[in-house]
Amino acid sequence: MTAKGLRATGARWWLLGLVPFLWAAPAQAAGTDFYTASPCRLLDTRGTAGPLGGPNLAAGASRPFAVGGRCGVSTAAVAVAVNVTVVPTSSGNLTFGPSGSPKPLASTINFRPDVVRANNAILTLGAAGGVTVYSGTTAEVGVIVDVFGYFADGDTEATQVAPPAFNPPPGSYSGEQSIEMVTSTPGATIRYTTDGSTPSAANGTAYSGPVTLTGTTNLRAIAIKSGLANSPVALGTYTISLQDILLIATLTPQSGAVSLGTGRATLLLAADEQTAVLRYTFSNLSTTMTGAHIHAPDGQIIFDLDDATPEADGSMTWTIVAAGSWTRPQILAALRAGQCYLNLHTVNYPNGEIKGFFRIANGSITFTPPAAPPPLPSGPPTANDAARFLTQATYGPTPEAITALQSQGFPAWITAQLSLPLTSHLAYVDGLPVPEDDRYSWYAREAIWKQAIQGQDQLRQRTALALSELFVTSSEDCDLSWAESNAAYMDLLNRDAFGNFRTLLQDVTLSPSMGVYLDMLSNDKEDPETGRNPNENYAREILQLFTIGLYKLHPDGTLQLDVDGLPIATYGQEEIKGFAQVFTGWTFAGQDRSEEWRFYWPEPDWRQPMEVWTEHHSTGAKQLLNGVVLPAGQTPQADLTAALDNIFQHANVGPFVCRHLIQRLVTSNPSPGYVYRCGQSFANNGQGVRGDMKAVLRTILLDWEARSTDVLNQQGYGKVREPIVRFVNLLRALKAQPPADGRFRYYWQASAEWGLNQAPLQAPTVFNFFEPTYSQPGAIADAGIVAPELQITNETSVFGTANFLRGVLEGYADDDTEVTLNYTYLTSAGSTSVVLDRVNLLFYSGGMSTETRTILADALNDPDFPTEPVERALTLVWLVSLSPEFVVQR
Amino acid sequence: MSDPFKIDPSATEPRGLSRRSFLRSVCTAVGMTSLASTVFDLRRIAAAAPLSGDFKALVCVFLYGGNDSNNVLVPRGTEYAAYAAARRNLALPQASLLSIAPLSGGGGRSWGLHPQLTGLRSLFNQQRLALVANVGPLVAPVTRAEYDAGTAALPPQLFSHSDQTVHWQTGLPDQPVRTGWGGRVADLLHSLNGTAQVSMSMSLAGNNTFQVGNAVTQYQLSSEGSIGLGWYYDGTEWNHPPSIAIRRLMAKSYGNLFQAGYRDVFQRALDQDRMLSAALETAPALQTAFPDTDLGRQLRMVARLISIREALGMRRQVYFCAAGGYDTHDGQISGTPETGAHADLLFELDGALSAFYTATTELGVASDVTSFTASDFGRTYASNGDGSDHGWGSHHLVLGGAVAGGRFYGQVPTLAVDGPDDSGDGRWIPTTSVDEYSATLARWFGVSSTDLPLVLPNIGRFNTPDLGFLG
Repeated sequence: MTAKGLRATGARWWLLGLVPFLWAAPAQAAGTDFYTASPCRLLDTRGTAGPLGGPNLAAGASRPFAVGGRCGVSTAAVAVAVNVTVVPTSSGNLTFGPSGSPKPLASTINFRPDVVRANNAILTLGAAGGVTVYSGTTAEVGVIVDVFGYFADGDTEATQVAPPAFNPPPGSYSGEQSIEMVTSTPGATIRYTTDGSTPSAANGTAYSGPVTLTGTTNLRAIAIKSGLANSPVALGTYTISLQDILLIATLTPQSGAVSLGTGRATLLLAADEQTAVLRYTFSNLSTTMTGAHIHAPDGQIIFDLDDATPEADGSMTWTIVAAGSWTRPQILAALRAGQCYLNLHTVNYPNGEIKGFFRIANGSITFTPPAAPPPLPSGPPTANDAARFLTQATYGPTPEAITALQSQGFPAWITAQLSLPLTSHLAYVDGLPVPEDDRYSWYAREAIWKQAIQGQDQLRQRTALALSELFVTSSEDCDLSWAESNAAYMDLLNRDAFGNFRTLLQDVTLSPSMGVYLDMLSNDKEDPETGRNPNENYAREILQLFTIGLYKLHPDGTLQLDVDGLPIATYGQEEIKGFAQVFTGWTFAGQDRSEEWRFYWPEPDWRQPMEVWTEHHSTGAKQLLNGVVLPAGQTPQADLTAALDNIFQHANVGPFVCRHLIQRLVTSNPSPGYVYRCGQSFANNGQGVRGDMKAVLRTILLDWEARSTDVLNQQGYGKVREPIVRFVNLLRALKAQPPADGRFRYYWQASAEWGLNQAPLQAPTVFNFFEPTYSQPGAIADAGIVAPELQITNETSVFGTANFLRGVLEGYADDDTEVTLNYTYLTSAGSTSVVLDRVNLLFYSGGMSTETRTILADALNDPDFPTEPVERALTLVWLVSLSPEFVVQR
Repeated sequence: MSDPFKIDPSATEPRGLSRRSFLRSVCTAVGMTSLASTVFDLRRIAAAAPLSGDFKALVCVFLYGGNDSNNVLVPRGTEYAAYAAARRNLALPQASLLSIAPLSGGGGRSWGLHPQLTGLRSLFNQQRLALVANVGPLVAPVTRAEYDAGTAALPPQLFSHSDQTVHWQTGLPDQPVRTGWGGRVADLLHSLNGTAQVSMSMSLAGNNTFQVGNAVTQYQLSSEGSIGLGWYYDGTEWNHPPSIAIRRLMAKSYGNLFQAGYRDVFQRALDQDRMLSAALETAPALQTAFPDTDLGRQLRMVARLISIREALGMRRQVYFCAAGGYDTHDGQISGTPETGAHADLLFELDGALSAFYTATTELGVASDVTSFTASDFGRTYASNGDGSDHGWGSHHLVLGGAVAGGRFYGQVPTLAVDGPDDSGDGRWIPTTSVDEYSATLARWFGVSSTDLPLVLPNIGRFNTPDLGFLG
């Protein structure tokens, strides 16, 4: 029904309960007609976010919203008749006014808190057809505006209805579109077709609100008003291409689960919404996974992964059908609303150990810091606690060290260690009765073993070893086969182990050993004539392997993902080139500068940092990380400082370095929380300093994940002890004493057949002995965890190591020398039970299982087991050294 | 010094190699699934049905130090004078050379082999031995002009032992890579070995990069057999409590995944050692006499292992042997050029390889086994007074019943210092890449041409992915 407007022919004020609006006289006065419209919602702030939707209006805020052209309101409308409903949380009022004009003084509706109220209103439209609502409240308020009619000038000249206009206009769109149709002729109705036929009064659908197009459509519409000729047919072709939608879920431990687990899932919802492709990874669950499902918001299973067969590439195809009491449309709506979740169930947590909600990927980097761990129990450490701590922080416990640590406590022990003096490897090598020409790299290893076995500064020793496996140089490079270069490098790591990471970065960069290993030494600036560019080796490895890695990380070490669910690279070729240009002009210190060729053929000096020849330094602008560009013409030192600062400040450094140190000392698979807490102490040591290694080491060793006994029985907790460390563990436990000249001659450990398959500063490549991401195929890979040290554990090396350690335990060293081991702690035990207690403490940190204990006890009690006390103890320790429960620290 | 050429700065594995490519192989990787530990029953070995289908083995003989192949293949005719003039005191006497007449590839010139290579010379004449000329690591083909201009992309650290050894063994000089081309071949083909209980990649010469794969790890043996666990008794005849304890420790199950993972390796080592030792005992004694040299002993063990291939369940195997000491900077010759350090090395090489070929004919697998040499680099054509220094391209030998021997392959460089193939002092710019050399071997071994880039990612840059020496 269309109501005629109030015309000069008379007042019909009874219509719609409006204040009567009387024209005084006919003919001359200009007025508007009133036209009804299908009741339609113009604004609802409680709904999904958007200009005509949520969120609720904040206190004191205002919001404009479009009216003209919407909901069937003619673009010629000057005012609308609406019903305004408020959902208040405080008392107050709302004022509506035309957009673009000052806020009116009169409010439209007033209210008390928590009482839903409604009021009719006539709202004048702004020049562009918009209205603005102003909040006069002290808290947020929900606003709903429904329109049911409008006022517009009648155009008495027209003979034909104006054609409908489409909004949004015809064209190509990705994703479904909601099309509004409106005519500027007031009081006209619109009819439309999508099937290609011509709309008319008898054909087509009456327009009553926006039309959703989900595919390519030819939309035809006409506007009709009695008394006027029908409008021309308006044709709009919409090309709709639907897109897959990517949703991402981050899996985190459910509340109440003591879990180190983590995971990530992506769900690619097909454009036709019939299927979705799921990919997920997870790591470090407490126990074996027993089930995996996608759940509806109320917990019902809507996709059971256990029943599905993975595709060849590991993904799973979910055919979306009704499940339980959920219909297909409900599932799809919940999915899009971020209310469905992937839940991984385990033996320990049958209701789910880790779960994550699928949210539409929109490219924004969302990071939620992991929850803090539970507090640690108070009280002095037990002997087992102390042994475990010493296994992480030193080259191995001794009975005396365990007892001392129990009284001292962990924090005080660390403090004492941090201030112990260091010992020079170079001084040791210099003092050897070996001709200089024969001082090959194994003499440097001799120096390293001595400090590792007998040094008091054990924390420094372990840290320096860990750093040597991050900033790798290796005597496998024939140019570094001199003891002097290896010893100087190890001294550098010793010196900087407890300093600032920025200093370490600088010292390593200018170390001649590193310069030789990764080609920065005598690296020359670019030569435009030949097209030769500076060597990029150091530039590449310092970024990829030493500091930031290939992909951007969250503060907890997990990968950041872009809108396609893919990792984000930290640098590209331009940055490599820029850093390579920074690292030019440096060579061995102390050269005779008058001989120009000395830059290319310098006299080695392994002990001093490299020095720069400015004329060989690249002078152009240099591209660094995060968009920083060094200006041309800086001094080489200024370039170097700025470049190292640029790396040092990168957000990746903390989590990257923390993960490495944790893997070398405590556990191969730190939880995101552990990496986060360590990374935070790297970022700020508590006194505003970034890169404080002392703070980092403290955090690593005192963290819940290193100290709590709750994690001990998680199937993926702990690590395989490096062969180097296992070897020294035995020597320290048995108080190894060198021969009279004080030298531990262990030279050939790098062999798998005859040694440990590992030796300090003897990695096969710059990738260290093993990669941080190595995952042994089988149960370990299936659990999504890594086990770097197993990469150098093979059928040859396990026997090689076993044979080597047997010789070590019997006192053999290289060059036919002897090392004396003291088995008294075990030979004085007096009974099988006590000896196994002592073995359990010294070698297993109390973690020896009953079965292992039984196996060892049976052997000891067997009459055919060696009877001579030292041979008994030696054989027992050898068996222990092979046992999985010793090889793996937890 | 030229700069390394990197293709993809963000890749740690070479482009083209992805986990997905190996998916079908990884799932059935030998020794990589968590096998329950079982005592290997000798009766099962005997009763195992002989494998149907073909058998192939690749045997890499790596000459560590850089072999002076300029004295392996020597111009004998009118060009001898130039050779003698250039090599001065390193030159072998013309009369001492063992003449050979290649059916092709010789350029119509006269050639001779080093006097110590008597056995190999006769195998060349029997067309069982081929010579591949001037092979070396390349990032892409390079001319002398490009080399001199410094514009060419070159393998990094030319003339460095460790770097060039890695380039030879990985076949990928321009990217950081952990795996060797032999390991990548094994990753692709190990499924042919079904449920074989021991690795298809065996090394008689310790750790090497050549055999490092993603799924397959090399199993190292000594020339006496598997390393074996000392102080350990595997039998039941008498009571040895420590050995019982070891078996029980490795038979036990562990809840911690790392403990279980280590245990799996140790258990496999015990089983493999037991199985290999038992199988080797059942191996028929080899009639062929091997020289009692280090390389001779290695290749003898390879022959013995090949003889028990059915007991091991093998259809494809990759072996690695090596001889060291080729870095003849000094003392290359002593007295006469036919003697001295290099001559001794070639004598050992000749004796070991010849005996090995004979053993393969004895075992009836001559056409199934192909041996090939490799080395860090060749050496300078010019003498340094006492020997020769690090070079680049060098000649290599391929031996086996399937080899189209008696021919030269590739292109012999112009043997002139400062000539068109010289990068300086007679360090030949390779005319055949390690990629092409290795690809020819890999294809014979069973790698399809579609899969070839997975093994040798840069192969597309070179002209001759199949040099033709394996038919």
